[in-house]
Amino acid sequence: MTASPAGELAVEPAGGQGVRLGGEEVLRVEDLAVHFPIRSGLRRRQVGAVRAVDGVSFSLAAGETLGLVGESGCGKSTTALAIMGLVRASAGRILFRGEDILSCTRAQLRQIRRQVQIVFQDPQGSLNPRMTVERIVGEALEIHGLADRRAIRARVAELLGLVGLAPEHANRYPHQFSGGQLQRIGIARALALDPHVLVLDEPVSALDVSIQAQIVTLLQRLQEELGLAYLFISHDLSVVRHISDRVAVMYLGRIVEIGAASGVYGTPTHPYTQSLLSAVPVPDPAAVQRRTRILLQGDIPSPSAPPSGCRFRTRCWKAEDRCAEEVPDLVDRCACDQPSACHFAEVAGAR
Amino acid sequence: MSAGALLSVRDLAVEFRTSEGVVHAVDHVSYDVGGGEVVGVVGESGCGKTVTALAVLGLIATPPGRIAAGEILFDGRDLLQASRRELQHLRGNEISMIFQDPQSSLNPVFTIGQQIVAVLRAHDRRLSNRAARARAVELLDKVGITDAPGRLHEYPHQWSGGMCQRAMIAMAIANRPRLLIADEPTTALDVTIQAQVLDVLREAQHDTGAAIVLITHDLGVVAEMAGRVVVMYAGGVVETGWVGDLFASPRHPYTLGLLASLPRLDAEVERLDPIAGQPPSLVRRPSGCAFHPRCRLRQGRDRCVDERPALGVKGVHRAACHFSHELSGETVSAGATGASGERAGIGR
Repeated sequence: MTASPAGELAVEPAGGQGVRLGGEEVLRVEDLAVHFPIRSGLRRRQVGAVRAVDGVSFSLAAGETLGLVGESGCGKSTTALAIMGLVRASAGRILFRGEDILSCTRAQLRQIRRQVQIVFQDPQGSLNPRMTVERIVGEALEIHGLADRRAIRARVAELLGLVGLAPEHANRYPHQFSGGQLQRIGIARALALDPHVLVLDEPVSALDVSIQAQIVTLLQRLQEELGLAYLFISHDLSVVRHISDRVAVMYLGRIVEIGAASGVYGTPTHPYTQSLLSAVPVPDPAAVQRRTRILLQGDIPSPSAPPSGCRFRTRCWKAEDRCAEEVPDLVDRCACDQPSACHFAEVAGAR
Repeated sequence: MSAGALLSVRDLAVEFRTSEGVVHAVDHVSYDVGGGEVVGVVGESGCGKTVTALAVLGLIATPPGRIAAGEILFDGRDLLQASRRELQHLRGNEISMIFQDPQSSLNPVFTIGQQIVAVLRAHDRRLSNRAARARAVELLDKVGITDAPGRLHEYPHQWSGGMCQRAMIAMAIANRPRLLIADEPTTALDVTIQAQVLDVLREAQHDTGAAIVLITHDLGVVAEMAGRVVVMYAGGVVETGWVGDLFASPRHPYTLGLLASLPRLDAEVERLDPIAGQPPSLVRRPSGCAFHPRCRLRQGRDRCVDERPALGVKGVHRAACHFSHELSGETVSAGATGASGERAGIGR
């Protein structure tokens, strides 16, 4: 009935504990950039670009969860959409089991898409209100011509069971369900084609705490049973820590730090990661006095005119002249297997 | 505590008529807020935390809403009996409110400056335009807007969400109210901006000595800001107590379930322990204890279905559960101790 004793157990080994190594790489993103043109004037000439994603690289292994965290506008959702082919990448490569999604033909893309599926934030808005659950969940099977009506019906019943719904729910419409149940339907739909990778874009952000825990637990169980790889995108740092093996922190279109979840949370090396973690209110009144908080100045700059050099420098307390001139690479500066894009990266110690 | 309370909500019931039946949004809720105190009201969506606050300000639309029972005493005066004129005077002067979504709470066609000046002059007719502008600059300065004189002419869309919420706080504290109701003041904001805005709120409270009713679904925000906590479920109060006690040893199975559902930033939790099922419909509230269909403590006992548990009146830490004593051994957070709750929540 109780959660594991928290608070005092915050100290943990610095290594990549909990990372499932050796899994086959299923997704690899290399130097991904997504720029949205800004047009102006009568002739709609391009006058600039919103650099939503600007050089993002990471890989994802089978059975692993990579958490992608950051504040609004950092490019985490655009990264997801680019991987799904829902926005056009401006540069870079997205390799799914070695095949580049960006340079393949439509027919190939169709095949690849069966293996990468997405779950959206707003379950209400992402399910067609005029379709029954059976049609929603079975639609992908129909589109890909994978089964006849009877087989689809059986598969839908199986999928609903898998996500904790009853077979008789198949004939109902989305408005007859609560938010948590709708998200279960969204997950069932994503699982219909037996994908290898699920892109989860803020899947629990619209849900209440008690329902959120149900969905997170469901996702963990599904991963164990089906060996899925998750790209878990969220602004909620606590949820990301809980579900992820590895975590990438994004700021203004770039990854600023990436590593094992226990490392990024226990010994963050990038000033942005440090301030982000210190800003999260922790539900432990006794810990309030113990924590030191780093208050950042100002707001996130516009991605259409990002600062030169290090993009975080305008809000960073460590910033020097060098930060304005030289873009820091995402490399391991602290010998802790945790690449960090800061010239002055250093371990701040476990919180 | 109720004798000296600044705000005392007593046995309040608010209903709404809908096509599906009568929604019992607030179902006999009582809580007190002392002068200068920060009280966190937590619960999931639809638990009645916002409707209670709207009732305090006389903002329940009638119809479809209706105050079915209870009293709301502010400084000993029953606000439910107050005339429109009296309420109008109270709102913004003595009690003010900060809403969740700053961008839509501000009027998009007026500048920030015009809106703050309008608030100031609405409550003090003799105030000149010029003096009001000077005061607006002073207020924006206080909530941490840099270059306030230059930004007075800007419109809400030119400001970020965090800046808009600072402007809302500036308006709310303009007349040094004695009670500030903040309804999810940081929910729409990013976490680094949330930290800034909570800081501003804390300072504003320190400066004005106002009591704050902080409505939120975020238990972390409550732990950082509040001295006392009121936990609501399905329109009723299920538990209340000092923040330290309540988090360290919850006495209601719902509070315990909420805490066990939370992923933690400061510790590794192997598996979350969610509460089964969903919150009930407020049209057909479960009989007895509203939490009984989801409760693990019930263990099939009839009393939970037949008899509605009372919150009680003795002591600060109270829970509306028949079998509350069975929870005494359960603790959620090893870091918190019972004694830490004996502080009041002022200036934290």
